[in-house]
Amino acid sequence: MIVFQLLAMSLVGGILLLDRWAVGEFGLSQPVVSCSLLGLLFGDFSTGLFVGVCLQLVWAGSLPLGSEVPPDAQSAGVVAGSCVMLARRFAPDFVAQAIFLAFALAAVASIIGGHADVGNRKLNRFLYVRGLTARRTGLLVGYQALGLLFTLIRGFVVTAIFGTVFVILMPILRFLPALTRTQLLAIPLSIGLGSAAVLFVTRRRIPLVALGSAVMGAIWIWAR
Amino acid sequence: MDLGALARGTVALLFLQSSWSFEGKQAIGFWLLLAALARNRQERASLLSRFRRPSNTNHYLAGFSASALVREFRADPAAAERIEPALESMLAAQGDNLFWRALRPFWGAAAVFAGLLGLRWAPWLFLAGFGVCTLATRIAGLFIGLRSGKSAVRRVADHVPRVGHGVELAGALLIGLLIVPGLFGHERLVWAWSLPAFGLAFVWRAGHRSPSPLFLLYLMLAWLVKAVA
Repeated sequence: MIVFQLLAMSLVGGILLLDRWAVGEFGLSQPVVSCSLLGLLFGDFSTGLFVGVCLQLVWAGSLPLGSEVPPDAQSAGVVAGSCVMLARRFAPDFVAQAIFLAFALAAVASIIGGHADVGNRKLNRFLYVRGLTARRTGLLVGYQALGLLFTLIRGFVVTAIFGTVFVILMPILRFLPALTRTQLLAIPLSIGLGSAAVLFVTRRRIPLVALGSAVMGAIWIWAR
Repeated sequence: MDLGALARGTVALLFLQSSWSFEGKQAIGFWLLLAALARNRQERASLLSRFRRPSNTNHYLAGFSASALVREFRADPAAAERIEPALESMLAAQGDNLFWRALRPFWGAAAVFAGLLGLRWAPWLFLAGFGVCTLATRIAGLFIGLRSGKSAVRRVADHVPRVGHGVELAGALLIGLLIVPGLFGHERLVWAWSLPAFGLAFVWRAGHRSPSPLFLLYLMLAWLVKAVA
């Protein structure tokens, strides 16, 4: 049963990860969306959304500028979402610990996923070389389709490997810290806010940040 | 305006990067985009033979450069060949700054803000904001490029930084809004943990380092603190 769920998640993960750069790039592979979708498909939207919200900003400052391949935030999100959904089904008493482990695996997946991405793009070299001499448009479409297939396989393999590692590590969940949701949120969100702030906050924009904080602080105090 | 070419071009744009490689970049996707915009078989063959080389630009704005190129090609093929690199590099830098540095993080932060407020439609807010905006840009790019050629690309390249600046200002305000629930809205004493993490991540990212090791380190620290407590 767990094997079927793992395979299904890896397939969904592979499809979602096409959105990283191969198709559309509408943002389906962004953690807040991908984790929510995984939650929706595998029975716990709220937990999926929670994991996505936690991870969305962690890699916000890592940008694919020019030919640079940044850390793979998308794989991180898909891996974390898949692991938490596996735990929800097969270790429901240890979901908090599973989220903690999923975060750790997501951090590693962002590094490994980045390397896999580079490998994927190196593999595509042969499609380009063939494309240079292709005379028919149909052949070019075929090479595009092959490129898509390579990317799908990359996403599938990354999700499957980390999902398998998670399943192997499931027996140690009981020894991991059982943090509350707010404690779990605090770790990635504070790092994520720091990362996102690098993009938007400059010395001249500090008054805007202060204004936002003051407005939200006032609302927060009033609501309490 | 050939609506069929517009529809084919939009589909080709969605798959522009499917076979992205370090050598050819978006080459195959770009050739297919040019082929989709061609009026007939002869024009397609002629476009494909002239532009058979590596190509790279911001893929959300690639519609502008490709369609402008096709329009210029119809007027003067040799001139079109000369302006191709300039069109692409002009849009590459501007588009990367607008979409990667401003719009995507902005809508990501907006979705996180909505999620922190407990709104269940937070992920759809991201898709509606970023996804719809990128799709509209692609379609508009094809339309405007085919209609006005390279002059339109120049106008777009002039406007993009202004839009990006506006989004960044809104992003700064949003970060301010997020700081309160994000760093102080936790249980007692957790903010004493969040605040240094926020500062460290800011300095860390400002130094262009990947946040992954920092994230792992903080998870380990959390484990340690919990174990000691």
